[in-house]
Amino acid sequence: MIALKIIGCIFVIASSTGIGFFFSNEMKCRIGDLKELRKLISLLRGDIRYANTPLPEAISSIARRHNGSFEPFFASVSTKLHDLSGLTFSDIWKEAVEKELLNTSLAKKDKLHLIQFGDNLGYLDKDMQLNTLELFITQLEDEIADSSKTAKEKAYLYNSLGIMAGIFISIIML
Amino acid sequence: MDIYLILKIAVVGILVSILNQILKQTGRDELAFLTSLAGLVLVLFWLIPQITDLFITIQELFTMVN
Repeated sequence: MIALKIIGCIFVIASSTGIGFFFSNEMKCRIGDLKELRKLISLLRGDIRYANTPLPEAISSIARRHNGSFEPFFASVSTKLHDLSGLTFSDIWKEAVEKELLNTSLAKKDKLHLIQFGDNLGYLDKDMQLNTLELFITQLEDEIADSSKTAKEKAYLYNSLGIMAGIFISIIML
Repeated sequence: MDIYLILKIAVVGILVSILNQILKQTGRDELAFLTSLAGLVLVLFWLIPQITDLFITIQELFTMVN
């Protein structure tokens, strides 16, 4: 009887510790994904600035070269752009953000910023595109700097909160 | 009145104080306050039946003496 209770307590503590570790890991992966996104948008900017590539081709060349978690997203945008189905760029972008970015660790507000960025991209001429890209890259860099500052403390907090919550629940239920 | 109640209250006290320290260190003061409040409410929830029993026992004791 007592052994069963102890096994139950161990399960509760292990699972809540796991949840705490999962959240702290998610936060670290989010910073990694933001850095990856910044790199890809810088490549896009470089393509447009120096090679004068039109937006659909720049996006498909990034989709071909990149091999990480953003590959399905860029691949889907470039396929739909080449389909010429009559949808606006911002609709295609928004749909791709909502469907293809489920495997990344980006937060809701990051995806919202990405959708707003898509609304402004592809508008007017090359200078305007470059300005939009520069603005978004600056935004991403600010976000990365902010998150990295508090990352270590938050990771420690989530881990210890996970363990404590497990012990708390098992003590209440004993 | 078993020993487990005292142990449970002691463990909750220790946990709440550790949690308080960690939360204050990371700057979440309002969360620290809420956790101490929650710990207090939980311990009171465990203690109130014991206090009621105590009062009833004293009452019975005086009724018997009279």
